[in-house]
Amino acid sequence: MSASFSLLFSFAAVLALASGLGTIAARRPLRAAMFLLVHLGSLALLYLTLSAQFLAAIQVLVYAGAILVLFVFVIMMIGPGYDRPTSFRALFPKTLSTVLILSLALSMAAILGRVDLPMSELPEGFGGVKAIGLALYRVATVPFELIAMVLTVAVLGVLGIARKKTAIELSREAAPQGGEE
Amino acid sequence: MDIEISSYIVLGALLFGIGAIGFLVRRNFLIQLMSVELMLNSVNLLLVGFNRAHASSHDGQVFTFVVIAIAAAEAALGLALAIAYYRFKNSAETDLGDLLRH
Amino acid sequence: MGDSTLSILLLLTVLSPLAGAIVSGAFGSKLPRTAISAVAVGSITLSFVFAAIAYAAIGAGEALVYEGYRWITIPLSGGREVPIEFALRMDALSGMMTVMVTGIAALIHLFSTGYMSEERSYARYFAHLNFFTFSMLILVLASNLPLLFVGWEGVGLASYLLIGFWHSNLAYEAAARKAFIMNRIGDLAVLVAIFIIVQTAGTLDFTEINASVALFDAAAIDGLSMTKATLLALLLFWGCTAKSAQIPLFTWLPDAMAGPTPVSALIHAATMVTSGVYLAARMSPVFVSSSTALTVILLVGALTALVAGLVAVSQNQMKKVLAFSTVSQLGFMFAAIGVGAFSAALFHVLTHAFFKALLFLGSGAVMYAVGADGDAHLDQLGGLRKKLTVTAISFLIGVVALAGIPLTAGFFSKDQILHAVFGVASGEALAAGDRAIEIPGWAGVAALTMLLIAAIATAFYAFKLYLRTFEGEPRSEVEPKAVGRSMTLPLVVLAVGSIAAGYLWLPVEGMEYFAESLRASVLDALPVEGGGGMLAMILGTAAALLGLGIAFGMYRGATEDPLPNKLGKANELLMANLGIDTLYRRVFIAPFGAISRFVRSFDRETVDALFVAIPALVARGGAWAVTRLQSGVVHAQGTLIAVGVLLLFGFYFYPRLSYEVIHEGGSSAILLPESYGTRYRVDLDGDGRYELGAEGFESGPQRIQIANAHAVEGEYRLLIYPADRGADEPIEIALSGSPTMLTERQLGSHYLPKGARGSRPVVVYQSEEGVRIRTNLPDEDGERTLLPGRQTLIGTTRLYLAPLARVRIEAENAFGHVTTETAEIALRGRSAGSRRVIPLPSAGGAR
Repeated sequence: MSASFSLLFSFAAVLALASGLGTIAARRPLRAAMFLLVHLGSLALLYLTLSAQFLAAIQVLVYAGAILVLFVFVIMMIGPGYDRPTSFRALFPKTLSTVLILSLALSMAAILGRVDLPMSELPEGFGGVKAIGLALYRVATVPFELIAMVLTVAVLGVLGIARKKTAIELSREAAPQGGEE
Repeated sequence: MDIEISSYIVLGALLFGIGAIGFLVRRNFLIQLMSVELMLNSVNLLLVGFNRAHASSHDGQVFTFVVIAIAAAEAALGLALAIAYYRFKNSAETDLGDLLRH
Repeated sequence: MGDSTLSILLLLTVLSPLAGAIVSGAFGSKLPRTAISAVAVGSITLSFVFAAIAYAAIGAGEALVYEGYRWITIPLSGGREVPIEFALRMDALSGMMTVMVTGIAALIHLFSTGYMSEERSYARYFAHLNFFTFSMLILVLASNLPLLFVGWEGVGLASYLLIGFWHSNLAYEAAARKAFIMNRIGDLAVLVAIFIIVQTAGTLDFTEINASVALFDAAAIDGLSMTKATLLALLLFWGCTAKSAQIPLFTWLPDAMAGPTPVSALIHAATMVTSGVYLAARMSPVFVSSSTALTVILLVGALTALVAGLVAVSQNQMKKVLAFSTVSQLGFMFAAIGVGAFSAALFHVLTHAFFKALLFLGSGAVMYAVGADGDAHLDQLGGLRKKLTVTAISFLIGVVALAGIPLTAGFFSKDQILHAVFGVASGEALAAGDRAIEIPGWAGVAALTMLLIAAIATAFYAFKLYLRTFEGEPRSEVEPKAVGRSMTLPLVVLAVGSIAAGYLWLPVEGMEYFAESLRASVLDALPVEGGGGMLAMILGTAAALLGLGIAFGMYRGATEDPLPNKLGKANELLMANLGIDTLYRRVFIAPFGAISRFVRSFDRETVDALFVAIPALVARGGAWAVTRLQSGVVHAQGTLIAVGVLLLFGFYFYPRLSYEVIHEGGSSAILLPESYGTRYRVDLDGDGRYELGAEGFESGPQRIQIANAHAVEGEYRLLIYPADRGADEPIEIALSGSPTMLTERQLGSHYLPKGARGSRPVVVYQSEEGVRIRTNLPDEDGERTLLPGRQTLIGTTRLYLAPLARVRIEAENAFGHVTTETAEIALRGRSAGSRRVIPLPSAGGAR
């Protein structure tokens, strides 16, 4: 089992890295969304290697099923746009931030990668629906209920943001002679 | 032989770096949102990984659960913002938006 | 009634006017005028009654003390403390002052109810007036100098408020400021005097100061050829010149006429100006212990009396005449103090309070009657006797008393002063207690001459004032108003007092108590051998009558003032107060203004440019640069976040190694600090095994002791502790097999024993067992061996041979990078700080 796990890990890790790179490198948003789908799936595989079966399912259901669909909706609504080619002026900050983040991520990997923590013995039913359910409803009841509140607030916020007209639109309506493009 | 926790840490750090670079380098609103999702997922991976190392409780997985819910809310809000931004600027390019400049 | 019950009266005496002030000040706008009048007059009258009861209860030489609470504690060097109590003390001196202040203030308050009846700020006026009286009572009843100073300042503040009562008039406001500033100049000196007293005597209580006068005698001040007593007396007198309007700080008093007339009466008669005299009398033992200061006071007082008297002659406004008259009379008082006749000065304070209050209130009544605003011009008065009979008669009594015509109060008190000064002028020897007082005879003669001329002038201007106001034909068409009962009653009472107060001094059976108790409460300078004679009285009477005669001759039936024609230019000069105000303006105010203007322009053009404009420019430039960063674009801002995170990261994980070596209690130790992500490993003896972190690196903070066992064999450091450099940080010398000569700088300049001259080399080199030291000194020729951990002496210089430890310190940062450093540490053992004297070793070894 361990051998197959490590094979699975290697495969999923490479897939996650590659699809992550693809997500940020794709020129079309729709392609990026597809790469992200692969990425989320590979993460679900990684969760499996960590004996988190329930989370792997949630990952697929919520991320791939709900969030990503939302992304695709919006992409379709706005229209598949391209990034303009990087201008010369933007080259410097982009290079700088790439170098900075790379050094940060690599040094973090170097430092934290030395952490030596043995994997502990798995209790019966670890990561299963029952165990997670017990943890959610017994240990983390309050945070779980708070999630419901957060989601409600988010929905209200979305309504507010997406429905209201912007100040500029309002001013354009008030003064119709103003330059309609 | 179990997989070392350090492998997950290194992978998480790299994925986080990818997400951060994507957020900073790309200018498309939607792709930047996806980069944010990448970063959140890398953290999730670490949480689950450390939970595996301390298997006596499910705290890490519960936390991941919460993060996923937050990510859903964040995606909904972010996409609503993207739509509002698009209506406002007629474009999804974020470097056009600099109303908060000095 | 016990003493404690009686002493409450003192507190009530003081608090009653304060309560009145608070009521009128805080609630005056809501109260009817009759209520304000009742509160104001009632509170002072009550205060007078309390004071009178208390005064009647104390006998000669006794004192009534109200102990309040500990107000301030001044810590002195050496752990001593000077307690300052809120304590009130009434003896004959302060009792006389208290009764006089409250009594006259009560009359003035009563007068004010009539005089100020048409004033809009009626409540404010009485609040200030009550506060004035309260401050004066604090001043008089204070049992120590700081509390007196509180009253002293309170009087200054109240006078400022009252002189500038009509503050919408800028000239009046200026007069108020002038009074305030002049008084501050004097207060400075009083403060300095207080400091000197604290420092010298360690007490501020009057009785204790007066008991420890000898201290001021002995201690002369470095660089000043005077005793502390002289300095103190002069400083206090300086304070008095401001408060009691003496030369050179007297110019505020004539200007203080800007206030309402009853205020002038209060300032001039009973309060404020007399506080200087009171202070001098309170501290009479200090004053009499300096003949120099007394001479200065005598001359200044006499000169003030003369100058102000002459100036008063030419003034042609009622209040101006009276103002200069006050200055002149205060000069008399200080002349008396100058010859050590404190009781005479106080007696004059009392009589003067009566007749000066009478004169001011009388002139107030005249001004009220004719509707004069500010001051009544003598050229527009005249013939008022028929209309204002009561006022005229009482005014005449005041004039007679002021002039010093025999059998009036002024006569008795002035005679006392002239008598005392005459004694000095005629060369009588004086003594206060057992202390002889030496005032030069010429000073006495000069002062007496000036005072006699001043007395002539006094009689002259006094009668001029009366004749020009009340006699002759009216010089103005104004029909005088009737003066109400509330105003005439005080006049009558004061008129009676102006005559009767003088008889308090007479040695009549049953009356001598007053004079005797007053004399007992101050330290008067008395003639050594009897002294006396009638000559002074004859001279004084003659002077008064002479002035009277001249005034009658000049003004009898005159419609115009003949004085300006007769004196010509001199009159103009006198009218302008001898040009002293102009002089002050030119000498003090103008240069000060010039300096101020220069400082202002310097501040604006140089300081502001250097320290305001340039920093502002720099800040603006920096702000410009920083605002460029805030582009509002998500990427750029995100990059900045990344920079910040990376910097934090670097701060925590940059490889660092810092350590500290400490030597204490005979052993040495290494201190390794706590640092994030840094862990240590230490090898003390270089054998490859780690004393700290044998099982891996350990995080700080750590403290590792180094023992002698960790030292490297055969390697030492010679530590030199020169006697003249303290034993803390020795000089370290590395040794080798070849001889090294120690320099004189290393050994310290005093290493040579007595008698050794010239160059005496000390040579050291390492041998097998320790260190060989070769000296060439007279008493310890030869060589010796110093073993590790031992010490020896060369002259006074201590040498210690310290074992050397090579310590390897490794620090690992969070990245796993290891920084290594080898520290060479000389183990000082118990040598550091050891004062143990090692006996001089004989030649050949120091085992």
